[in-house]
Amino acid sequence: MTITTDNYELWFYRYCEGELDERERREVEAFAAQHPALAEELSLYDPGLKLQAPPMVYADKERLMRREQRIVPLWRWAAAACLAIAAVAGVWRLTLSGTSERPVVAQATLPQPLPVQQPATATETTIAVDDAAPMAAKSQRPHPAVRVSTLSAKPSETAKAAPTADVVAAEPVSPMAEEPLPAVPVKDEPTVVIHHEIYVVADTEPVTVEEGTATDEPESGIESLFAFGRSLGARLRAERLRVQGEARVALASL
Amino acid sequence: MTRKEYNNGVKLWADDVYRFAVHCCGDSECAKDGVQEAFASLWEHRDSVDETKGKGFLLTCVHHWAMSLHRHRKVHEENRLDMAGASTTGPDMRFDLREALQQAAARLPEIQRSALLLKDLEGYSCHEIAELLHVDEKQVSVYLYRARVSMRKTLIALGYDNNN
Repeated sequence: MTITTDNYELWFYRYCEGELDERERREVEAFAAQHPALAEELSLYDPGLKLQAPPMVYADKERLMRREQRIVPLWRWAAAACLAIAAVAGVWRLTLSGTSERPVVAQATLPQPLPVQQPATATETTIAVDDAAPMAAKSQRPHPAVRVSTLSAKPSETAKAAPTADVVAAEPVSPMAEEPLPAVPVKDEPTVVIHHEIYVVADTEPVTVEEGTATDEPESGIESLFAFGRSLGARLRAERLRVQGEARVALASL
Repeated sequence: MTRKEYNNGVKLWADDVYRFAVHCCGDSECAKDGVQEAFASLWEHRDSVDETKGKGFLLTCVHHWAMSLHRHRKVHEENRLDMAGASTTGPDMRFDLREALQQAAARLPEIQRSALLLKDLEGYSCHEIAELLHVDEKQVSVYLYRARVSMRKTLIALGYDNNN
């Protein structure tokens, strides 16, 4: 490759940096002698003229670092949200449970102590259960509330009536329907009606429930605990219904 | 390049990359943006960049960033004119020779300045500079020749001549 005015810079650079052999150096010097302007330019080149810069420190290295990111999987958030929703729904359910038709029952029961009507109610229930026994054979645990009503009516028949009283009857004769109280709802589902009976009986004589259950029929610890829980719940509901009934009476009197 | 290698690279290369960026753009604050951009690009391409090529990749990023910056910035050109006007009034004794060299380098075209910075400050060879700047090796030699001649002319114009 010969030196020309088009490529002389590369040659001059190599000449100044000592990258040429002796023959190439002579060619460069001969070319510079033929071009005085380029020779002057060549004289300006100083290989020792190098940039000097002190070391610099970049202070924000931490910001450039990449840390391990802890990514919480989406399913965990979803699970947490579900648990929260379930908890709120459970509290809401417990708070509002049993309020749908209780006020009507409360109106019917609160003004009347029902000590005399209860035996008849319990007896009818027992008869109805006996008729529907094949349909409700899956439930064997006696219900303390109904047992209590039976006890208060006929203590001698308690042992027979108690085991079948909790059975969910197909078509029970609702005690509330027998009463001349217009506000008692007529239920299509026997289960719901039975529960109403339980609530009514528990509302009227909640204390007798535990006494009858505990004395006449010794039960296991867990059964007693269930019975206690039921009776406690019944007491609370009865108290609430009583307060609601009093409030309605007070409002009606205004 | 793993995360650990990248973080080690930050410790090893950030200062040099920052210095290179400062000399490329002439502004320390602006240079920080260039450094951050370069490391962000390295992180994005960490799977395809070998650890031994990390610093070169960063310097290349800063060079392209500075090229783009100066294309959109006219201040640099105005500074050139100001410096040319000041040369008629004699040397500014506030600067020593090192600062005068930096001023002279600041007047160079971007590609020449980058080649000169990589050669003088980082110690790369012409072959390596050609790879980093994505140009021919012979062209790097030409850039370096032009840069040094131009700097010498500038120093003489500013009143600094290291031969005197």
